[in-house]
Amino acid sequence: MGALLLVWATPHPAEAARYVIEIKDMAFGPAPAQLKVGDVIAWKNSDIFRHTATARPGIFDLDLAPGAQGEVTLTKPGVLNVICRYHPNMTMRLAVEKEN
Amino acid sequence: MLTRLMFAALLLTPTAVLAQAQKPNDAQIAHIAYTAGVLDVTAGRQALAKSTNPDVKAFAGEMVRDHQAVNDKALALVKKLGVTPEDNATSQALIKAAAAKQTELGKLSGAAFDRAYVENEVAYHKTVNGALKDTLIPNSQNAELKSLLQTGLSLFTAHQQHAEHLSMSLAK
Repeated sequence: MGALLLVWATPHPAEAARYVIEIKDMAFGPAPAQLKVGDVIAWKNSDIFRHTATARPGIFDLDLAPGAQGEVTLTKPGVLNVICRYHPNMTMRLAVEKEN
Repeated sequence: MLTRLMFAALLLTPTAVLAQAQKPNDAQIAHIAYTAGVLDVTAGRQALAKSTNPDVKAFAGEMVRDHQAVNDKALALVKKLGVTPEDNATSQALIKAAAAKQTELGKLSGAAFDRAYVENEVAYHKTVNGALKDTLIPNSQNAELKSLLQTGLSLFTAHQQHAEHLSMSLAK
């Protein structure tokens, strides 16, 4: 029983996942479901225009030339509203849950 | 004479200017789209030189960068397709209207310039969006050209929204 409790008390952390969000045709690709703290998002700019993936205030701000890619690790739970600073009509919402 | 009068009248209303290209061919469509981009790059450069407002300068920089990017793509496409963009009355009318606007804006400075530039950007993008949607995209025959024009429409729509937001913030 003691051993079992110990197992429950120190759960094995879930493996962090890595997602790719493609930016194309002036839009962010779909938001991954069930994002968790520790997950990594790679932003890939497949557009012919320069874009940013920006979550304010100061959460992350990736400036991506055409063809460029940048990564962020999600460090806090909550809802992130991501915009492109150059094209403010480009928005997406990421819901980040606590780590398991 | 009638044509000349119509042409003069069309110069006064940018929407009508673009509406006159009823059934343009691909070579004319490419010319019109490219010209529309070049004119907005020129307007953006004027704003970069004249404005001191950081938001206006950022917007103008975005116009220059994005329209150059799409025009570079357009040039590569017409080269690949072996199409020579064909000058036409619509392109000429756009050029004349833009030159008149550039002169008008050149006389303004400070906040008055910023407001007039951004207001014109709203109107200009609205006009080009309408032309892309109603005339240029439906009449384009080549699939790659059509696809590039659709990218242009997404871009112009985003720019129009950005210009509208900026215009509202400048009016405050």
